[in-house]
Amino acid sequence: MRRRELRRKSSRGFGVTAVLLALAMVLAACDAADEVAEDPDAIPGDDDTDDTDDTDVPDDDDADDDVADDGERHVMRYASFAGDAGQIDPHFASAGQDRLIVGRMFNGLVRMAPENFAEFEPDLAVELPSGEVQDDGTQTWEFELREGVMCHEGPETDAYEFTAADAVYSLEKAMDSERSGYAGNYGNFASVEADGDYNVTITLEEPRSPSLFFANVADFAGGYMVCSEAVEAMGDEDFGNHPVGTGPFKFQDYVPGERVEMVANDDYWRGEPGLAGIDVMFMPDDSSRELALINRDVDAIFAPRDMSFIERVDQEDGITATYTPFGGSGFFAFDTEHEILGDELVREAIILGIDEGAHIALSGEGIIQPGYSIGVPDMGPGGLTEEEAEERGVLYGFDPERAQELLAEAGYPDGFELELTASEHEEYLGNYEILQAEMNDIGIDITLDVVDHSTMHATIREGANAIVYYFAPRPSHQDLLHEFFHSDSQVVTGENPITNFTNWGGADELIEAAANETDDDAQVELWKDAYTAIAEEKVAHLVYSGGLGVAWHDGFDWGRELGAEIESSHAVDERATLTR
Amino acid sequence: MAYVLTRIVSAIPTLFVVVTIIFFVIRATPGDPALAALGDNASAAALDTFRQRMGLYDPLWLQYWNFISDLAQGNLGVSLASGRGVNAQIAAVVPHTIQLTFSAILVGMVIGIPLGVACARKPNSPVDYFGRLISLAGLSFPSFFLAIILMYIFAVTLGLFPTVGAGPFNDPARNLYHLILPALSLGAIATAYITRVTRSTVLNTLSEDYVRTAKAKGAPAKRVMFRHALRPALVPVVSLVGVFSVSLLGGSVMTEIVFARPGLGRTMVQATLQRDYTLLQSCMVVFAVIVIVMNLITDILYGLLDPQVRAGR
Repeated sequence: MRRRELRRKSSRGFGVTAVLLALAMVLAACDAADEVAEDPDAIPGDDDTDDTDDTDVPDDDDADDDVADDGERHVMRYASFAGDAGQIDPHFASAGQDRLIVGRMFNGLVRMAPENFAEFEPDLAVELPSGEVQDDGTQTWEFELREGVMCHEGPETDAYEFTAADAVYSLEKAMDSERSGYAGNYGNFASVEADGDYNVTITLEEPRSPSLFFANVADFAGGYMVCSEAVEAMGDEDFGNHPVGTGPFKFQDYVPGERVEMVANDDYWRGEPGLAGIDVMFMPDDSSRELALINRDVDAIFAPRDMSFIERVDQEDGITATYTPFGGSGFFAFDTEHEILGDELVREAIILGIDEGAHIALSGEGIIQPGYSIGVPDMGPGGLTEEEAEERGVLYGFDPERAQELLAEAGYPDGFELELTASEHEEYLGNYEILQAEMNDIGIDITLDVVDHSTMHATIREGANAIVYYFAPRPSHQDLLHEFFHSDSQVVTGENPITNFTNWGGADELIEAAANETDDDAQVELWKDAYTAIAEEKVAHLVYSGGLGVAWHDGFDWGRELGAEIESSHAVDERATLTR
Repeated sequence: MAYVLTRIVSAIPTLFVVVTIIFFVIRATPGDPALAALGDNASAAALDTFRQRMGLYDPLWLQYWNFISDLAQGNLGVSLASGRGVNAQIAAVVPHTIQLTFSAILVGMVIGIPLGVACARKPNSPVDYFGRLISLAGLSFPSFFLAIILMYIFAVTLGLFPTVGAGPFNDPARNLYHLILPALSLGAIATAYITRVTRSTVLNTLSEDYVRTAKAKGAPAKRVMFRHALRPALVPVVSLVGVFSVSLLGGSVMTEIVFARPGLGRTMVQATLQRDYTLLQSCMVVFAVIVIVMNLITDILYGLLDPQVRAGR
């Protein structure tokens, strides 16, 4: 009898547990949903200082709680396309999400204008200096620094004033290959010296134009200014986990796989930020980002390079989705020493067989634009316009019939077979598949070996592909030309192999002359000549220039006009505000 | 106790073999961690320095020795991609994965067992058809697709739940608030399997002689069901839950990605994309340890439930 009662109780217990669980779920949903509805900034949670969470995952709205009292500033949540943060030491950060993060925390001596990255303006320097060529052939650049710029407080250091000693330390760190991924950019730097607290003199072994020189001291890559006392106190490894700079936002926390939290630097020299902070959320799934924005769980999202996505999200109430120019060009590079593609007629046939419209349709015209040279005008002066390309005789159209004739002239009337390694990355695979279909129409039978993106990158650097598709956002025409078309950068055989897949160095002299040209206008002409040479020799062919997509709800205000970007994400700065 | 100790000791060589295979398979994978870490426009010199600094030029046997000796000391190393300590990174995400997996199993049991019993009580009835339909749907829908559907209905349309992130463990209400949709999404698969197995095993036991005898002796229908049929029928369900929890652990990756939750599976995917050998091998080692522990627990529970197993018969 007793056992039977126990069993009945046990049976009832199971049911009761189920009911309680369901009740708890409903209560949790109602409880939290009500709180969000009443005051989204008043979601309960412990302060960071009281956080006893053993996984150290902070409450979503801890930072909101911090500013709930003033009722004005809120933490903005930006949904990045990335799965997680990579390196956030600014001198190692290279991935788009990492540059987005470090760009909020650091300044350069100069900066790429937020509305147009191709233009430079003063940042920590009071004004843009002019380079002076010395009698010994060197070139000096003298910077006067702003006074009163404060370094963030760090785990080991209090806030202190940024001085010339920090600027020198930063550039020496950027030049050291053990402490920076960008040391190769500083080979022409002879010395960096401080003169008092607010003056820095940089000497170059060979003169450079302002646009090329400023790129190395701007708020990008090795140009970020770090706070020397913080780095020295923490050591490089810890600094990479808790960066300390002078920017509008300060590092607060990193939650693996979920987000990086930054809080406002109220002592920022351009003024108190309009946001209480920024949480960069790692959300690799496009649909999740879209739904999270519609649900107002995030305030702005990275939008994929897909017009249908942008148009769909833009139709949602209270949401704006758009795109801006981005210094990225998508092109096919041809191996000029390949047994078949070594023939210029074959390369011309391939170019004439490519229908740029089909490649543009892959993402939809708008966010994708046609271009007329490998370097596009979005990168600043230096790319060819349609008229210029026509004048120079390098405007190739889509002409499959002529392509077949050229193949016959080259001795391939029945076409030929080609095996290419393609990435599973949507954009890369799409372009390779369209190329496959286009080439099939003119008799070239392409077999694609589809591998993951990382494997593709490794494979093409072994010189395995006769045709390489690449989407290359680069901050300057010089970078693009040097990395993709200078013989030093030739994969496998180059002195400093990077991403030249063409086995061609026909524009070396033009690229070198452009690097040494100190006059901006003359430099632009040299870049155009280099692009013309590439097109004349049929070494590579642009299929489009890519834009950068973004969407946000109407409570978020960027505080500026969105313009051409280079960080793979739109920069949120001290002018941005958020209302909920 | 001796049985438990034996099982633990026997797990050690298994783990050793697993980590050795993991180490070499990962390094046989094409791709360049230096390129992934420094970006596609990194110079050859920068890549070279990175590889030297991270020990990627060391002979494979030396890298293996370093890995094994560090592992023996509980040190999982430093992530190649981020330069951060792997121990802390994994410690931060593993609890979320375990929580999600067990919540999904709980959802599966709470819904699947009663539904399976209801189906078995009246086979080929409307209830049975409904249960089988639910089960089929759970098996057919990919978890990420279901996740998007649930997100759209319960988060976007009804505004009941958030779409993003995992709640903190020190705030149970908020933690549950963030957990419910992912748990339901992943739990749908568990529900489908548990419903089908429960229905099948209960149907089998209901046709056993001892059940027929109990009915003939006039025992009430509920007693026959819950005492005589369900209890023995649950043994294979428990076994299924043990095996299936391992499967769900691996299957949680898409749910973690869609709901932007931190988790072991998601970290592994990211590490794979970045060719972050250290993080990837550490994730897989932790994953292997969890699987071994779960199998161990299943075996031990099985031993407790079934004396024949304990006695080695």
